[in-house]
Amino acid sequence: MSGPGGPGLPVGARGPGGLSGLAATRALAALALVRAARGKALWIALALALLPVIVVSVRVGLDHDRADVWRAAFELSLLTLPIVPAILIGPSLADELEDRTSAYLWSRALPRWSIVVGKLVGLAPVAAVCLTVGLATSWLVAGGPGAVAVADAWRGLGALAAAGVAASAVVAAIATLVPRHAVATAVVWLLFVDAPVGALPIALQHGSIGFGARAVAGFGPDAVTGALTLVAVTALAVALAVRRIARME
Amino acid sequence: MTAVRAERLSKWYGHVLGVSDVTWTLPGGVVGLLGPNGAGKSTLMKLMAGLLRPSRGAIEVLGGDPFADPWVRRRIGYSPEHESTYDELTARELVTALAHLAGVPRAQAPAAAVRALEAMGMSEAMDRKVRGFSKGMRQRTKLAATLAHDPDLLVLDEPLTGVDPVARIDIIERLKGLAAAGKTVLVSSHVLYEIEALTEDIVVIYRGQVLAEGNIYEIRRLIDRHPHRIRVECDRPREVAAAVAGADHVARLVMERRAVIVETRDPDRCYDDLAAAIVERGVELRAMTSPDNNLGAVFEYLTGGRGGGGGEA
Repeated sequence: MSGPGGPGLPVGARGPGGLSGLAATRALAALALVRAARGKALWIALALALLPVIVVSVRVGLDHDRADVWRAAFELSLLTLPIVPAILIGPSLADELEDRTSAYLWSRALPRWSIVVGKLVGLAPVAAVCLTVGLATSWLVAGGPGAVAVADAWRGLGALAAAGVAASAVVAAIATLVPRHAVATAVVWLLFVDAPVGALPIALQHGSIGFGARAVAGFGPDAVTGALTLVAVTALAVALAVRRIARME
Repeated sequence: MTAVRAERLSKWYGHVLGVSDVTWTLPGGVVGLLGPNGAGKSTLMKLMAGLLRPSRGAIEVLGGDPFADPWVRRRIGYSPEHESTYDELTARELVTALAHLAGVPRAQAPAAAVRALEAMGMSEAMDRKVRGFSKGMRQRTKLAATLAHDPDLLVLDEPLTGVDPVARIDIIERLKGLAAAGKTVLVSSHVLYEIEALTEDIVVIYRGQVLAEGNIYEIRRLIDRHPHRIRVECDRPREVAAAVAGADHVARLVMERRAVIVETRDPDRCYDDLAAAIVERGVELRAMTSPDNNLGAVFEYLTGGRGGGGGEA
C-alpha cells in the first residue's frame, strides 16, 4: 500500500490539526477508564469500599440503633476515602511519569492540562461510584428506608461522592509532585493530615475533605460551607496538578 | 523548510549536562544520530519532540517551537527509547488512541492505526495485548504509533535496540520506504552498523556536543580498527559460541550464564555468522545487543580524549 506519506502510511489520516483540550480530555478519560477496567485496581477499590458493610452487618446483628449505624457507616466510608481514589488515580498518573509512558502523551499535539483533567474525568467518577456503592450497600444492610430516610441517604451518598472527587483531585496533585510514592503519600496525607484536621474544632477544618463531607451529609454545621470546602479543595488540587504537569520535563 | 534548526542549544539536568551548545541543522532525508550511551542523543531527540525545554539556546522544528506549540508536535512522530507502553491495551487500541491524541479525527483513527500497524508488519498480532509482545513486536507497535498520524518528521530513539536480526532488517527496510516517500527520518543508535544499513548521512554526538556530521564511511573506518562487541542472549549460548569460535574475525568470546559476548574485528561478517548459527541450530534468541564500550573508546579517540560535560541516558 502507498499513500502520500509513503509506503504503508495512512492516506489522509492526518487531521486538520492538533486536538482541542476538550477532545483530548475526552480521549484521555476514555483511555484511563479502559486501562482501569482491565487492571486489578478497580476491583481492589470496590472491595475496599465495601469493607464498611461488614462492620455495619455486625452492628445490625447486635441490634444497634439504626441511625447510629448509618452514622457509623458514613464515618467508616470516610476511612476508605483516602484509599479508594489513591489506588485508582495515583498509579494512573504516577505510573505514566515513572514508567515514562508520558513521553507518548507529551509528544502529542494536545495541551498538557488535558492529561490531568482527562484522567480525573475518567477515574474520579469511578472512585465516587465505588465509594457510594459501599455506602449504599451499608444503608440497605442497615435497614434501608425503614432505618434512614431516603433523602438523608441520598444526601450522605452525594456528600461521599463529592468527597471522592475532591480526594481524587488531591491524589492527582500528589501524584504529579511525588510520582514515585504517589499512593503512599496520598493515603498518608488524606488519612493522617486531612482527616484529623477535619475533626479539629478550629477554622482550619474548613480545608478538610472530611469536614466538607460530613457537613454536606448533614453531620456537620453547615452544608453550604461543606460544599464550598469540597469545591475549593478540588479546584486547588486540580490547579496544582495542572501547573505541575505543565512545567514537567 | 529546514526540519530542525538548533542554535546554541543546551540542556542541563541539574548539574548534569545533556546537550551542550549545539548549533546544527537537519535539512531533511534520513540521518543517523550516532553516539555511545549517555552521549546526549536522547536529550537532543526529546528537545526536538517537545518533551524538554532548552536550558539555553533555541530549537526550531518544522518552523516552530516543539515544546510550546502543539501544532508543531502534530507534525512530529516521536518514538522513545524505552519499551514501556500501555500494556493493558491491544496494539490496535494503543495505536488508535495515540493516533487520535496526535490529532487524527476520532472516526479516522482506527483505520489509520490499522494501516500503520500493517505497514509495520503487525497485521497478525494487532488484536493481541501489548503485554505479551516480544521486544521486536513492541518496537514495531511503537513505530506504528509514531507513523499513524502521518507526521513529516520522524524522531526515532534507538528503534532497533533489542530487535532480532530478521526483524531488524525488516524494520530498516520499512524505514527506508518512509524516507523514500519524502519523510525526514532521524534515527539514533549507539551501533554504527545499524545506522549504516539505513543511511550514509550521520551526525556524531558525544558528551552532549555534535562532533561531526557527514558520510558514515570515514567514521566506520576508524571504528573498525577497534574490536566490536556483540552480546547474544539465548537459550544455548555455548552452541552459538562454538559455531563462531573458529572464524578469523572473532577476537574473543566471553561466556555469561545465558549469553555470549563475541568480540569481533568485522562486525558485518560476525552478524551474518551469528544469524546463520542461530537459524541453523534453531536457537531461541532473546536479544542481540552491542555493548557500546568500544564505541565509547572510539569517540574518546575521535575527540583526542578531550572531555565534555556529563552525560545522560
